Amino acid sequence: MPSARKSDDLRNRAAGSSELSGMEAAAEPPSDTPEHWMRRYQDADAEAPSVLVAMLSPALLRFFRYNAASREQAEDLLQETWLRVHRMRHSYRSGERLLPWVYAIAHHVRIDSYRRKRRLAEREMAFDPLPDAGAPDASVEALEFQSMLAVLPDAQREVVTMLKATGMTVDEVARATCSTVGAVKLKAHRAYERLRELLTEGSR
Amino acid sequence: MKRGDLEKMLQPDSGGEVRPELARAIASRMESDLKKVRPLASTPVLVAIFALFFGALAALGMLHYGTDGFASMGWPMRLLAFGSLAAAAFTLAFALAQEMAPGGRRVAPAWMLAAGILLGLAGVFAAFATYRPEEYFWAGVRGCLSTGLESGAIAGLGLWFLARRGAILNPAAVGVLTGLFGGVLGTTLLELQCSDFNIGHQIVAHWAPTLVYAGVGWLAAAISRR
Repeated sequence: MPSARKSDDLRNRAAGSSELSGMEAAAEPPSDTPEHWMRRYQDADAEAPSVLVAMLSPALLRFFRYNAASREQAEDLLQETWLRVHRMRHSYRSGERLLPWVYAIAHHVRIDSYRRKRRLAEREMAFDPLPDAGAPDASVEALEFQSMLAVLPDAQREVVTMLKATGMTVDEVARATCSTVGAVKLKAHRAYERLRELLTEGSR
Repeated sequence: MKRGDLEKMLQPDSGGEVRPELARAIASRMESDLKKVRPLASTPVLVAIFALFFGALAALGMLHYGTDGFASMGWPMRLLAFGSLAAAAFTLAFALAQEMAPGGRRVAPAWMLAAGILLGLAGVFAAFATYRPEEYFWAGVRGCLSTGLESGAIAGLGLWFLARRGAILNPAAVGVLTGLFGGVLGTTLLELQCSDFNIGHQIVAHWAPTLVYAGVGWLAAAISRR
């Protein structure tokens, strides 16, 4: 199978698996789900890392890109996330959903990176920003979309991208962001309102 | 940009193409250090382990320090004091078990839980305490405080040993909860052992170990992360 087709197939499997209920996942996970591969990964199956990376990386990369990172930064954060996934793999409990576990790690990676950047910014002198060389592949719409998302506060942007770009449920997003379902719904609602306003202003 | 574009951009299949060489590099790094790992136990199992640990240390403490305080209390006071301490310990055990696995359902943020438990226990002590001036206040406080801090330290260290595999994503939260759990055990032993129910003594000598160890747990976790 060509690698692009294989990657698409795995991505579709990952998206489809998010529709499984917790009860189904608690039993023996079907062999095409990320939960199944995560168990094999914990059992040191040599095939598991590449399958998991192919299944989950596209959505993770999109998550980091939409959260105000250039392509290079997003790729760094993606690598850091997988490094932590590897270090923390024992903390995944079989029978639980994998996406909230992975995105809880990604959420912390993003926060740590933000803190690091802020610490650096405090010590550095400001120069005129260089053009973003890491986005030659982005379409005009994608760039426009990213600039729209950039208007949103950090927490709202994170919730919107998790809900939409990864296909997680509100409950899963609440778990991944160490928040409550109510707070996630409120953030999402406010973010959609703001995006709608921006779109209405833009179409005038 | 139109509204349809927004939905299209947010679809799970749009964009996010990972360079094949990057995916290969990540996977090969993971494969190079691939060892079988033992997954964390489930929440009920962890809660049971923490509860057994608490019960065992409380029993040992009772044998070592005695139960004069328990004997001096009436039943309503026993129910109020030990019921609230048991509820605090159970809540902490559950919160700790959830906090150990990333993406678990949280009871509440650790700082909020710590504040709630500390205020709740202070309220309970204030409800059953007596209010009178004490002649040998500091002498009594010294003895009880050292007992509470000593037993709290043993409980906190023991619990940290049990919980350390889960203190990876958010060690500060695990540190606060572990410290608080140790402090609650210290306070429980003091309530069992000490028959001085004066408000000043209860707050300074009995309640303080819980506060001290919540802070120590947070500090230890913060330092270990640097």
